[in-house]
Amino acid sequence: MHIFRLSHIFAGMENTIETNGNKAIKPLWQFPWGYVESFFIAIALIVLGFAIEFATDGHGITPLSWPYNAYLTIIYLNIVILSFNYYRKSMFIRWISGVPASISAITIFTFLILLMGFIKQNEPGSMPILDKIGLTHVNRSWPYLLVQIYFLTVLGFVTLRRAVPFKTKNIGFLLNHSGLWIMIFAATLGSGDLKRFNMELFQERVTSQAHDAHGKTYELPIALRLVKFDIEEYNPKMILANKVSGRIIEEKNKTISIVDKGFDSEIGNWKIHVIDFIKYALNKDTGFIASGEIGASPAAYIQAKNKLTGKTAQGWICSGSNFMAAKYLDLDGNLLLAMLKPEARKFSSKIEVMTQSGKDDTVLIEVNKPVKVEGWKIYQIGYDEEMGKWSESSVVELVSDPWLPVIYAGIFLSLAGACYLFWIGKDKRPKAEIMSDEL
Amino acid sequence: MTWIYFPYIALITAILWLVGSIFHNFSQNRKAMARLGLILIFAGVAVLAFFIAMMWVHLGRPPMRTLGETRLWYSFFLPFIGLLTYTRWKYKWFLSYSLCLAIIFLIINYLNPETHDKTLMPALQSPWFVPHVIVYIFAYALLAASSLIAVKGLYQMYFSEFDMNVIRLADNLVYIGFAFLTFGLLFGALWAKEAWGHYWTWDPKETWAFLTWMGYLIFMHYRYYHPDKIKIPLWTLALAFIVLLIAWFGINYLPSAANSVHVYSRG
Repeated sequence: MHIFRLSHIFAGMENTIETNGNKAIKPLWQFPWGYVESFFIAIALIVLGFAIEFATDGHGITPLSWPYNAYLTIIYLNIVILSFNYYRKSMFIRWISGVPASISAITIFTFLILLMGFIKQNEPGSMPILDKIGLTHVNRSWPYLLVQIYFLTVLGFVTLRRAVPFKTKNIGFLLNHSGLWIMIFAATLGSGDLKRFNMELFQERVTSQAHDAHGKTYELPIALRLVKFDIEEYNPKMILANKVSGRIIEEKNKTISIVDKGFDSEIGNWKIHVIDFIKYALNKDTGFIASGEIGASPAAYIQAKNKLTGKTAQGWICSGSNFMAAKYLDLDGNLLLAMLKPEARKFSSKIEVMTQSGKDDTVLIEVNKPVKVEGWKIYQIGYDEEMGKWSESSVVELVSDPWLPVIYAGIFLSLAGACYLFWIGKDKRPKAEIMSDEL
Repeated sequence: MTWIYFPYIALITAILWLVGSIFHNFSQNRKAMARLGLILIFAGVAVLAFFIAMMWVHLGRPPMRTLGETRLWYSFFLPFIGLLTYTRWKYKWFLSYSLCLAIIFLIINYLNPETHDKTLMPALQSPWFVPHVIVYIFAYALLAASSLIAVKGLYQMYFSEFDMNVIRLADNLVYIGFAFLTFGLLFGALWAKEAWGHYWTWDPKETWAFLTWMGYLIFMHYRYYHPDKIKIPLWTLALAFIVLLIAWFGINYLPSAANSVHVYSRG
């Protein structure tokens, strides 16, 4: 009885058959299956997933890695393609490549991701029951796996049904659906082969040991040595601070400009002129002098004049570093003019890379500009923050994802599909004509 | 040329776009008037382009390194997307709508001069940044329009006579908006691979962006196969927009998203 209630929730999805214009209630599970059966299956799968997850104590699933994921791909594709080939006209294949199954699959997938959107992921503990049924690690859980299989299987059959026989007018449909299928399939099956390691590099020694996200150590077939780490910085900004409280005086809509030599600006009631600016300077007895040594910071010689009182002040200010105190300019016994620490513009590491094949290269990596070496992409991710610019170590991430070309293929098919959607828009053919394509 | 001249440039550009839009929108069958409108709109784009070019020369680098500078590019490219969409779909208001968005970014830049110098962190310094954001802005704008139309449709459905043209317009907007949403999502994935080592990590922003995408997917599929049904798609469209709003800025307030790489407010 409650099953039929379901049909009210999805109003307009009644479990009816239309014969000669007369609508009649169809017994449940009698083909052709409609929305009620489709949603029943989808919900049953997700519930089953939660149950398995609960029974296995919320351990989740471990993705398959090479070559087992490849075997599974071959077996799965064979089942889908052969069953489509031989049983295309069967009621089951018609159902699984049809509309109610599609909408149920999209909806159940969305529902699970919605839970994922509201529940903090990968931080178990706050509610043990959520850990147990997998909701704190959705993308490694049984419900996700089962929903994903359902989604991909439906999407796969839907795509095949339009692809055979091939018609050019279906090209947009095929680009979008096959692109999505390839992306999700390859991302899921390939996740077992995705390797991500962090490696800390030093100037004086070659490293080939790396750690995964859980802190486990691995020996990699690639060895690295840091040649030089560097931070390129923007010129710093100036601020006014209260001398007693040390608080920054915030002025709305006030630009606190980047300091440079010869620069004129106004902060509050003060006119500021930068007489000299040194990007990296040390405070010596004779004043600030340019220096490449550890601890040097930006420094500026400032002339300030109060617009209202005419009072003036003059002197050096510097941002300071972990090795040298900052220096402020006392403007009137009340206000200080200070220079903020410069912001990083670019982190980069020059690295020597040695591979087992005997390759020995020096490469430069930056944030947003990883370098590829023999199947590994090397990313700049950290450095010794105590030492800052003079860090003698650099943390890099090494990523190997052999399925990436497949993902990219899916992405580019989908991009082409999106162009098609933009240009052609909705299929304006009458429903009957669209449906006849699929029989 | 520096930011000091920006208020004048923004004012001239905005006036050219507004006057151009009015001419173009109300030209009806007067071709010369429509053409004049387009010329004024292009003149506005040219003024802004001149400013960007002069900034480029002055800075000695592409002006793409501060928050304020990136907004200049939004204002510059949005009219082109509007024009492309108008050329294809012939909705005149598309062009005006995209120009309004572009003007909004000029105004935001005018009102927040402190962002002119707000430098971008290294992860954001990427050729993907501007295209990723622009296609999202346009997608959100079109989908917002489709939701307004859905609300109109719901009002008609419950309180007066329903007009099928309403949902047909919503269909078109969703298809075009969805195309841009897909671009935004995939550009984001391609960028993430370069910046963070993986194309998809189920970061909360990604999760909600995917949910938004799925919401409109449900609408499109349902509409496709049940062209005569009105109530469910209209409600789906209204709900999908709520998901979109969560993805856009609601995620700043979600406890599940506290560690997202896309939440910049803590910065």
